[in-house]
Amino acid sequence: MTGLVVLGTNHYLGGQLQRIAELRHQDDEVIAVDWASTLERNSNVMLTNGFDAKVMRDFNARISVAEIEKATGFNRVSVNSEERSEEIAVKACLTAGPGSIKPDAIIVCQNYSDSRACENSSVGLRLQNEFKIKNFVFGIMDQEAAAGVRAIELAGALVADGTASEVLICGVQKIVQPFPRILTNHTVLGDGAASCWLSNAKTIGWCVDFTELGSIDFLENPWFVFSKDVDVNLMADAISGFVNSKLSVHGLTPDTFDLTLRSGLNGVLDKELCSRLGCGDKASAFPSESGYLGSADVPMMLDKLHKLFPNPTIGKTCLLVATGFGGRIGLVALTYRQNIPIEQSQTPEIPLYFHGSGYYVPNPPTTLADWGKRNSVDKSTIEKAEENGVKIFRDSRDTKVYNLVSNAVSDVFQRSGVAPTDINLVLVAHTSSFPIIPGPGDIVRQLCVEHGMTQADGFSVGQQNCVSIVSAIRIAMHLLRQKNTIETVLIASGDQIRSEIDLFRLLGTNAVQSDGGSAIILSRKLSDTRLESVYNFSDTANWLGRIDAVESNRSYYLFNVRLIRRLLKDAKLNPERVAVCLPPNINRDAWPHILKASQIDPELIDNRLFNSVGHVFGSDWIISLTENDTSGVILCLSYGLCDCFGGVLLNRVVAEG
Amino acid sequence: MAIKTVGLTDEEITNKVKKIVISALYAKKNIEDIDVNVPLTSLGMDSLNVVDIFIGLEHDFDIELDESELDMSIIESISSLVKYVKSLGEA
Repeated sequence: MTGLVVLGTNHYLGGQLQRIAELRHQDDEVIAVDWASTLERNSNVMLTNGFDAKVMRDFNARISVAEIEKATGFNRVSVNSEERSEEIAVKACLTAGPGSIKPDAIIVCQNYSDSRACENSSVGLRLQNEFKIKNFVFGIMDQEAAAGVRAIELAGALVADGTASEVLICGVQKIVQPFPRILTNHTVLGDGAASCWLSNAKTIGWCVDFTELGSIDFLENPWFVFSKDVDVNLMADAISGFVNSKLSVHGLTPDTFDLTLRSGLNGVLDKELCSRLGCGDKASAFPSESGYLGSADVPMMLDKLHKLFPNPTIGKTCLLVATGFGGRIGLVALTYRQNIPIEQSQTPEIPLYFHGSGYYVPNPPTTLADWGKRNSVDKSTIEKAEENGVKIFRDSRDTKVYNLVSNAVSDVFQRSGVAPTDINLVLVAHTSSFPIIPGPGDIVRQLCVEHGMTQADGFSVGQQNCVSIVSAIRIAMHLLRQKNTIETVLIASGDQIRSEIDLFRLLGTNAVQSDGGSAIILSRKLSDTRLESVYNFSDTANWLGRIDAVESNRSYYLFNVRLIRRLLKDAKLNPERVAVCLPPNINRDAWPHILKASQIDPELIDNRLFNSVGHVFGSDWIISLTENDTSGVILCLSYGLCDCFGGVLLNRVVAEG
Repeated sequence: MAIKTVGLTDEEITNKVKKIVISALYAKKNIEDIDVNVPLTSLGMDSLNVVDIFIGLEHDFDIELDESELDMSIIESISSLVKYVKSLGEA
C-alpha cells in the first residue's frame, strides 16, 4: 500500500514537497483533495513517576543496569504502577485539547492493555465518556509507534471525507505483566500517554503531506527482539534503507527535510540511524528519560516538534520516522503552513460491496450442562439459561486465537473465490483489549505471510468490544474513499474465553460466549451484495464494563431501535424493505420487541444459530450471513459490553436461475 | 422540525409526558397521582418501557430523537423528561 497522499494542494505546500506534489499530480496515483490539510494543533505528553536507573534492575535481573544503559541509551524509564491506562490517557488528552472545543472523532493507539481479564474497559470508551462522544472512536493496535502513522492517515481520511473536523489522536502505553519491560538489551518500555489534535480549523500547525508504512522483513520475527545480541547497525541499515527507498519513490531524500524526528526505540540505534540519514545535527529527538513509549511515540514527536518550532516558519519540512520493535516502520512527511481559513469539502461516497464472508467455530459443541458441572454453577442458573434457549457453546480449549482468525480467513477465501493477492488492506478486529499476539508480534503480518496476501498491509482495530468489527468496516470505508491504492479489504476477527475465565462464559442467563473467528471481504469492485450503510456508537456511561455484570441496562432496547433507524436512514430505506435481520446471539427474547419497535416484522429474525453456534463475540452476524442466502436488504446487528452498538445494512441481489 | 410544544404551558407539557409514561408502563394511575420527581424505575419502568416512552415522545411531540442526543439521565423521572422536551422546543 504505497502512494502519495497529497493534502492541501490548493493552498500551500512548502519547498520540495510542493514540487513533489506537482510532479505526483501528473499521474493518477495521487489522491488529491481540495481541503487544506490536517494540522497538528496542540499536543501533550503525560509521563508519570519516572524512576531512576537502579529500579530498572528489578525488571530484569539477568541484565545489569550498566548493560541496559549502554545498549539502549536510556538512563531512566517512566513507570506508572498506580493509574490505569485510561486515566493517563485522559490526562494527556485534557491538557492537549483546545479548551472548549471537543473532538468529533478520537483515534486511540494502544498496544498493551492493563485491563484485567474479565474487564472490557478501554481507553477509547473512557475518552468517549470524558468527551461525551457517542461515535467516531477508533482504536488501532499492534504496531507500536507505527500505529501513530496509521492514526494520522485515518485522521486525514476522516477530515477529508467530511466525517470530522477535530480529530484527537491519543497514544498510550502501560506495561503490566506478562509483558516484559526490558527486551534484553534492545529497548526499555516506558509508561505514558501522549495526544495531539488534528484539525482543519483555522489554526497554525503542521501539514501532513504523505504517510508511508511498511515492514522490514528481517525484523518481522517477533523473537528477534528477545535476542541477546541485537545488532543495531543491522537495524539502522534496514530502517534507513526503508526510509530512502520510500522517499526515492517521490523523488525525495532525507536531505529534503529541515528536520527528521525518530521514535525513541533505542538511543544507540538512533545515533546510527541519524548518521545514515544525515540528520544528526538537526535535532536530537531521543527521549532518554522515558523509555520507549510505543504507541505514544508519534504524538510525542509532534509534541517535540511543537516545542522546537513554537513560531511556525513557512516552508519548513519535517520527516517523522516511527519505528515499532516488531519491524513496522511508518513515515510521515510534514510541512509548516500558515494560518489559512479552510473550507472543508466532502468526498463523494463510493459504493462498496461485500465479496464474501466466512467463519470458524470449534467442533464439537459443548453443552451448558457440562459447563455448569465443571464450574460448579448452581443448577437453577443453568435451567434458567436453557429456558432462554442457551444450551450449547463452542470451546476452543485454549487453542491460539490466531488459529481461530486464520481458519476464518481460509474459509472466506475458499467461499468467496477472491485471490489473496487481490487484498490491499487487512484489518484484524479485536473484541478484547489485549493483543492477540503479544508484542512485538504482528498478527496482520502473520496472516499476510500465511495466506499469501503479498500485496496487503494493515493493522488491528479494537476498543469497541464486540462492535470492533463494525468499527473496522467504518475505518475501511473511510480509507477506501481516500486512498485509491486500496481496492479490496479483508476484515478478520477471532476471540475466545480462556480457561482461566471460563466461569465468565455465561452472560447473565441470556447468552453464552462461544469461541471462534470470522472474516469478510469488502471491495470497491462490484458484487451482488452492496454495503448500504454501517454505523456504530457507544453510550459509555458504563465504560468500565465487567463481563460478570452484564445485566441488561435501560438503554439496551432503545439504543438498538435507534441503531436500526440510523442504518435505515443512512441507507435511505424504509423498514419494510428489510428482508432478514441477523441479530447477535444474545438476549433472544428481546429481539422481537426491538424489531417491532423499529416497525420491522419480528418474523424476519434469523436466529437459527442461536443454539447451534452460540454467541461468538462480534462475529455472530457474519456467521449468520454466511449461512443465510436471503436476497434483499439484510440487517446485521452487533452488541458489545459497555453499551457498544453497531450494525451493517446490506442489499443482496441474487440473480434468478 | 416543528416540535409540538409551541403554545403549550409547562403544565400541559408535563401532563402529556405523564400520559405517555402511564401508557408505556401500563400503570393504573391518574396523572395527578404521579410525582414528577419520582424515579421512573420505582414505577416499574424496565428497558422495554424506555423504548415505548421515547416512541411516545416522538409521536406526541413530533420530534425525532437521535442516538447522539440520548443520555439515560433524561429518563430518570417525568421532570427530567419534561426538561428534555422543553429543551428541544427551545433549540
